[in-house]
Parts: sequence; C-alpha cells; structure tokens
Amino acid sequence: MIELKVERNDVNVELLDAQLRAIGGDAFYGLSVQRGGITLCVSETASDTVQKQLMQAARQHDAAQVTDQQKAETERADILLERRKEPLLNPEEYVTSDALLRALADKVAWLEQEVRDLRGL
Amino acid sequence: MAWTAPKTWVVGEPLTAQDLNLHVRDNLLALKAPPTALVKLDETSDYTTTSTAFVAIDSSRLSLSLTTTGGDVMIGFFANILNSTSHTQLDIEFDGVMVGGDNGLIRITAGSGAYQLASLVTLKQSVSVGTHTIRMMWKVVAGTATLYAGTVLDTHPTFWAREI
Repeated sequence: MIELKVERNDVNVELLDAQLRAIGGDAFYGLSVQRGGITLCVSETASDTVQKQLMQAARQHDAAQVTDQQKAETERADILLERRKEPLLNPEEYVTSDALLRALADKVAWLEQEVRDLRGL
Repeated sequence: MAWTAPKTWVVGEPLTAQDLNLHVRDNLLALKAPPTALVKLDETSDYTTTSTAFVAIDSSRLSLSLTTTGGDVMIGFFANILNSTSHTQLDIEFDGVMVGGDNGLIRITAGSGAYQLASLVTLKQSVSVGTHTIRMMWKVVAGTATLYAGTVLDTHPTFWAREI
C-alpha cells in the first residue's frame, strides 16, 4: 500500500472520501486524518497519474461542502426540530379531563412522536 | 539498567563483589525496570479513517520505540472508537510486520451513534535483541471510524509496550 500525505487540517471526511473514490476507484482504499494532515491510502497498482489526481483533489477539497447524505440528515434534523415545536395535543379534546390525565396524555403523545422520529416515519 | 545473562558459578569459586553486583544486583534492577515505552494521547482533535487497508492511526505519536534485551514483549492499547455504519479493526505492526495479520487482532462492532471501547493486550514472543518500532494500525470494513483523543470526549487513548 502507498501512503500519500497531504498537509491540511480542515476536511469533511465523508465528502472527501466519496470524491477520492470517484477518482481512484478500487485503487483508493480510503483516507486517514491525524494531526497536521491527511493520509491517502492507495493501492500500489495506482498509476502516477491517479496518485497525482488524488493528491490534487485532496488539496483542493472544500471542507465547507457536504455530501447528499449529510444534507439529507441536516434537513431531517431541521424537520424534527420543527415538529417538536408543534402542539402535541388538541386542548379541546381534554377540556373536561383533569390535570393528571392531561399530563399523561401529553407524555404519551410526546413518546409517540419520538418513536415516529426514531423510525423515520 | 541492562540485563546480563546470569553467570553460572562452579564449586569453590569465590563470590566477588564485581560478580554479585553485575549478576545479582544489576539484573534485579533490570527486572524491576524493564524496557518500557508508553504514550498517552491528549490531543486537540480526534482521529478518523475511511481506509479499508490497515494504516497507522498516528504514524508519529502512536509509534513506540523499544530497545529490548531479547525475549517477550507485552503490548497494550485502549481507546474509544465510533463507527456508526460498519466495523473497525485494529492490529499492531511490529517492525513492519502485522502481529495479527488478515483482519487484525480485534474488531469493534458498529454502533449507531455510540462509541465502543477498543481494548487489547497481546504478547509478542521471541523478540530479538535491539530496537524495535511498534505502531497501532486500524482500518474499517466500511464507513468512517473516529478514535477519540481530542476534546470531544476528552479521553486519553493509551499505547504501551514492555519487555517481560
């Protein structure tokens, strides 16, 4: 295995990994981030051209960008936050109920929402 | 204090201060403080990898140099590791040769958002006299592995080796 070193600290690991796999294919094993730099793990069968392309892509990588999956996760988290701001119960249905029952119904509704979120429903 | 192969005395041979100091005192001191190398990480950032081939976790910090007198070496490591989507595998490289080989010494199970304890102790036998380089290696089956050594968890992965 060949280890190619790139000196930079800011990196979106998932995004750079996807970008480099698109360039190197099976010859790119992955990347490691440690103090002061990135190590690109590359097969010994990778040509000089591919190695240079990988190094260049790692240097030019924009850590502020996100992958489609990261974007989707952020959007989902935002939706969940918004949902949690919505009232869980219709107060009119509990007008005649005592406070203890209303509190219990509120907790059940909250649990239902959390289960739905966890299951991605 | 260096280890000296103990002398075999013969009947009638005088016990000299020089021999006693060399073969008894110095060897006891050597046994009390055997060759040891240890590093405890306290970094400002964590380590990550997506490599599916073994690569050094930290080629400078998690790399021990141990000068041995010949024999067995015990090696230990522990850390907290997260890989939400797949497994992470650890091995030790001893003078450029993997101790475990294949998929390494241990595999840490994937955990959704939960870090796992990675801990191993192994014995490297019949190590020759001299200076040796021991490195912690890791790889993933898939996904991204994070080894916590920075301020997120503020735990301190520790890597050590001692001749025994």
